[in-house]
Amino acid sequence: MMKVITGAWRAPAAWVGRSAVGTAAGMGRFGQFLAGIGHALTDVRTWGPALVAQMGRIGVASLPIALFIAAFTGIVLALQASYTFTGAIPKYFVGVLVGKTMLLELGPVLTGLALAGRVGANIAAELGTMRVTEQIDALETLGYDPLAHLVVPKVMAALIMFPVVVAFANAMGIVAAWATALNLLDMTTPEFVRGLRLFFVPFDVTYSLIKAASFGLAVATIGCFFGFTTWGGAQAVGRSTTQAVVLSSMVILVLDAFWAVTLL
Amino acid sequence: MSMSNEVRVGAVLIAGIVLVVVGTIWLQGWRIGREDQLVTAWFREVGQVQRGNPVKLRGVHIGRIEEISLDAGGSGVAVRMSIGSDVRMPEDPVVLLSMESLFGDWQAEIHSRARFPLYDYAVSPEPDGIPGYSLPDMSRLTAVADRIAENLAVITDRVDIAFTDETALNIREAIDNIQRVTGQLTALVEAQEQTVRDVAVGLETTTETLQQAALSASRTFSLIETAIADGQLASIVGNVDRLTAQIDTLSSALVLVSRDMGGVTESADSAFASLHAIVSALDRGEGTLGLLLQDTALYRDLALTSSLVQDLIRDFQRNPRRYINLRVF
Amino acid sequence: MSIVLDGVAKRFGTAVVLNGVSLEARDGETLAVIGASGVGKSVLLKSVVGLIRPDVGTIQVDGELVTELRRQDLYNLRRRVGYVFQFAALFDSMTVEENLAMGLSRVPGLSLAERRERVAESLRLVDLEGFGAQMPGELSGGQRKRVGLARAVAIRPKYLLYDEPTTGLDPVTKTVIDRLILRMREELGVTSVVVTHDMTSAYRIADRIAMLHAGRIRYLGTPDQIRASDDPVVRGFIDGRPELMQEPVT
Repeated sequence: MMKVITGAWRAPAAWVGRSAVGTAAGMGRFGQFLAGIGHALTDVRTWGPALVAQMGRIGVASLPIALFIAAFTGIVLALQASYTFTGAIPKYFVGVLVGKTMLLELGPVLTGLALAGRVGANIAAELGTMRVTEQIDALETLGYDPLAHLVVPKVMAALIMFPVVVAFANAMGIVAAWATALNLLDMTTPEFVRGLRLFFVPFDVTYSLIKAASFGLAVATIGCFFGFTTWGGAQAVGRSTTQAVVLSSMVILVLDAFWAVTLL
Repeated sequence: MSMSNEVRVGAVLIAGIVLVVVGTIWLQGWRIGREDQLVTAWFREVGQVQRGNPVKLRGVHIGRIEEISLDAGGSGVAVRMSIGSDVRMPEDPVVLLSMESLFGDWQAEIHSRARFPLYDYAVSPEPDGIPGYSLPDMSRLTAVADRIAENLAVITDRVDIAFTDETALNIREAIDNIQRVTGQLTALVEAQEQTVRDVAVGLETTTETLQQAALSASRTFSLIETAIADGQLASIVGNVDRLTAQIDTLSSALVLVSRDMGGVTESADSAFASLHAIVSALDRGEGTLGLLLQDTALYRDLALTSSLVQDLIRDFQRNPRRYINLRVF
Repeated sequence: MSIVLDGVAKRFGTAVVLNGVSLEARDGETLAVIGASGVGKSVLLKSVVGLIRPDVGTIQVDGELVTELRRQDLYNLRRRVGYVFQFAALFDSMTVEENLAMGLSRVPGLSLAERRERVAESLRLVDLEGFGAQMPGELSGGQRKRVGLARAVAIRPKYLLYDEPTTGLDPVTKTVIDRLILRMREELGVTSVVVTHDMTSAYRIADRIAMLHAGRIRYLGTPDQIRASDDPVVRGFIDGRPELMQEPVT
């Protein structure tokens, strides 16, 4: 049977086979990694004390970039909404569009993507460096479960703080759009607020926060996984960092679609 | 360093939670620290109304719709509204649901029943519930208008069939003849101007009476309007249907008639010729008719006729249905 | 009690690193494992503390089968084993003192004062009193290695594993480290396994020397025996003559 595949066809076939096996092995390693995290979750004594510091690094320190992005998103949303609605549609629909888009999509996703770069890269680089300088091995020899000591606090911190950051980003975006509507679009506050409230349901907020938490979980877990499984030297750390950012960005978009299908 | 970090994280966390809770409450339009009264209105159906839609009184936003639920009996819909406690309800209040704009947002308006007495309000099963009526939305109005337009199109088609080229020619011929006769009659009238002027005075009175009749008719039409508002659009459409059938019959008759039109025209021609001769004679004051025309007795007869017409019209005003068996048209 | 490896084999992908290694470090002795770079010495050492799980074979430490231990028991065993990493592997976000205290906070029944005392004592043992508040980044390579050693001995282990302790150091610092290794055995009575490719160091510190070659133990003997060995591979390595080590791999 194998003899049928000869000559020029051998290389592509081998490549497909290698990729399939590699992907499967990667998934298996990731599954093991997740199982390890699950096990380490019970070791609260180890990860508890490190949690607040990680919440500061992952959450509080990410606020400025998240607010910056959200502010400009809000401004652009308001301007583009009014541009699109010129004529037939009443102005207060700017408020509708800004509120819905900010809460349901742009708030969580843009913040998630920005933090995938900032937090995901940071985590992957830190853990990758610790791996190649044997600090993770050192932790193990000193009796620490490195998953409980290094990974769980980061994952928990991201899970808790991403929704908080996204909540601030949502508010920032809406306030920026509001200010834009007042100053550049000749709208009044009652008009804008009317649009904001018109189709608002509290589930919008829940949806936004669920998305944010899932993005946080994905970014931190993927960042930790690539950092943790780094093998080699400085170049390997760089590679892990890039992979972590690319994969977590992709996963954010996939999750975005997933939630839209399952929750809306 | 570690302590200040803890403080920062805690502050951000608390601020985030407060932001989410307060923001959600604010976006929902909840009013904190203000007492609201809850009122329930009953409807047969509620169109596109949703929770959170505004409640208005005389165009002023006074509250929002909190809850929409089917009555346990299944015959009606209860709409619960929260409105400011300082709002005073009008006398015998009713609630109308209508479109607020063309973009699908609806509103509930509180009115006094006296303002829109004719709507078919749902009866509240609770003593303090408010009767309500949901105005039809655009799509339903459009559907009814569509059916009316279709029926009109059918009528137009049938009329087209009745009036062929031949009919048109015949009619034109008849009109020519009538014009001729009219010319001769004009000459006669000119001769009898004074008499006619006197008659005109009588006619003026008649016109006035006719105006009154028109007023009465317009009142009748307002009744018809009520019928429309009463949701009897369906019966209108039915009547149009019937009318269409009648016109159908009429147009077949017209086709038959128009075939005989040629003969009629010829006879009319000869009749008009004779009439012409008579009128010329009259002009000259010849014959009995001529004499009669010159006589004041004719005027008296005319005056009498005029007053009879007036009586008739008065009676018409009093008992229009004796003369007109009319639903819509 | 001792460290016993029996038929240990490990492969990464298609590369066979260890191919049936059997070796014993007797109680109280210092065993040096020599071999060329990339021959699997570090893999061997990491297998001993369960950082790497061998594909085949068993490893016994202190009477316990490392290869069979459950997670928690493995962590308990590691409290009896000190590991000195090649580049010290200090936690660079912590001070020297905090680095030393990391392992101690896992030892049950130690008061805060006792821990402080233990940290100071361990720093004294490697002649680094007064360096406690420094960050690892402020230290020289030799100092870092000594801190790494102090961290390993702070938990008062019964076994010490050294991964290339003298690699990349100048001759004087090398001697300092070698003396420290000897001092650990004298003062703490530990059983040690030293992985190195530095023959000077091996002769100086080891009771016995094992040579790892092509995934197996090629030679095992005292420093004097190995010096006199006529095995071409051993000779090639000791004298630095790679041409002697060329032989068909079976």
